[in-house]
Amino acid sequence: MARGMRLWIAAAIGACLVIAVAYLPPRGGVREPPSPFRLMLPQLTPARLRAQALADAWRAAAAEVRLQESRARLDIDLARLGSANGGPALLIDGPDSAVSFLGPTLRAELETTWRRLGLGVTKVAVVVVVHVPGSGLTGGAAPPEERGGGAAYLLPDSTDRTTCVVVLQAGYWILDLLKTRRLRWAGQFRTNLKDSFGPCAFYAAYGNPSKPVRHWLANRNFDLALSPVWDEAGNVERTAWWLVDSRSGRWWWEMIYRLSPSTVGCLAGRATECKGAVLDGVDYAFDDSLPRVVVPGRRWWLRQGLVPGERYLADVARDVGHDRFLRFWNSPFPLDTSLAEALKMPIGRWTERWERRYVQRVPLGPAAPRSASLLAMLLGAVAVTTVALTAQRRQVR
Amino acid sequence: MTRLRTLVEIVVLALLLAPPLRSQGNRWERQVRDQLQRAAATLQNARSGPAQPTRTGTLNAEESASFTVTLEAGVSFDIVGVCDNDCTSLGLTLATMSNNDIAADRTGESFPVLHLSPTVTASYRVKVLMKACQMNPCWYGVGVYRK
Repeated sequence: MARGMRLWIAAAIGACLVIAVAYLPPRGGVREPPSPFRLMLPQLTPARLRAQALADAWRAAAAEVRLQESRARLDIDLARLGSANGGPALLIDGPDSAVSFLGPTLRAELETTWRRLGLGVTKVAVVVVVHVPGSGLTGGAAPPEERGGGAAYLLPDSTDRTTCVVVLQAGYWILDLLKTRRLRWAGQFRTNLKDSFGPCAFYAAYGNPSKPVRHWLANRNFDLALSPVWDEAGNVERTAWWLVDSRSGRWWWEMIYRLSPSTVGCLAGRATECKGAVLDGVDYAFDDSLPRVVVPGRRWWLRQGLVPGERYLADVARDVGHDRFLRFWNSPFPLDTSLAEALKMPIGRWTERWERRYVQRVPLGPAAPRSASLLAMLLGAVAVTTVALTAQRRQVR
Repeated sequence: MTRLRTLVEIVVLALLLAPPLRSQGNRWERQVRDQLQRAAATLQNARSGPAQPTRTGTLNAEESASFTVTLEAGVSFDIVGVCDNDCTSLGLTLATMSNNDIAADRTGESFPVLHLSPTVTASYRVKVLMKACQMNPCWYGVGVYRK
């Protein structure tokens, strides 16, 4: 065998070895570092999905029953109660000792939060009903998963257009207040209270929405209006912590691919997908029967249409201003028209820019890792150099 | 005895005054009541009162409400609709109980007025349509006045 041929064969074998070392996993395969989410979220099998859907339906029905029971048993004129002092009315459903202690503190905090939202006397009055464990008024304790402090909402309808009821299970913050008899972490407590107002704050600030807006939001369980934070800019750390590891910058793909395709597309910076994610739930043949009760599901943030969808409409209101948002909220025109008109730009483009405030662009599609690209370029350069050197030495006889 | 009589008088006076104070409601409801009072002052003869109790309520845009009034034959009536300051257009229609329209004001203003003299004493249906409301719901009020 010629000497030159041997050299080529050796070079090829060497290259194969380099590639093998770089790419082939060691024996037994590579284990991914343990993920806290994997422990929390079991694999979604059809049976588990079915069970979760049933559980969600049961929770929604139970919350609706409790809302109606609260209203019937408390037997007060909620509308007048709410409009009497301009702020939200507070009803505490619990043992007398809890009511007497929590009442003044909660009332003061609710008033403060209300004022920070720029609200005064509103057409739609908000009534906050707080259930403290141990009370018998609502006919039974809340299920364990609702003891985390989740809220449910009874929205105004044709039987009562001027009252929005927030039913709040006493969760960690309120129970801590009750236990320690002092308000620790007042900032978080107020943030939590503000979030608890949910869609009711939008109803208070902008009135009952027009039919297209009402149907759109109802069809998607008001996921875009759960956090009325139009008084403050968003916080990246608070919104995308479950999508990306802040220390390593590594994406939690398992979480990302639990979202809908349009949501993932929007995270990747595709404006058309952003528009699709926003307009999900728009229907053009309005059915009159809309659910009056809104119960955000358990781990609702894992299924939201936009990230962070809970503050989408609050950010729209903050960006476009009160008057333009009010026109959108009350517009009888189709939603894509009225929202684009309020934003003064295409919905997809605005939403894509909004998404970038909270989540950096998710890289989608096939992409070679940097190390592999570098290695490939290196090998290519070696090959080209070798060929060039060989060609330089070649002699034609 | 005089003190007791004074006390009774105060209690009676308070009871007489309390319902109107309670029924003043919020500012939008008060706007409607004020407008109805102004309409009454403008339209009606000072000697006669409203033919029917005034109706007030709330409606979202594009919603409507109906109620029944009894009107006497040969008497002229003014039916006035008013709404709060967020409302820009209110419609008012008078129809028979079989839903045949007799009179309607669909001019699109927030102060519709119907003038009519029924030929038959009967019950009629008054329909209020909230055509446009800048912040839902809007309060409306309807007064029926004898001329």
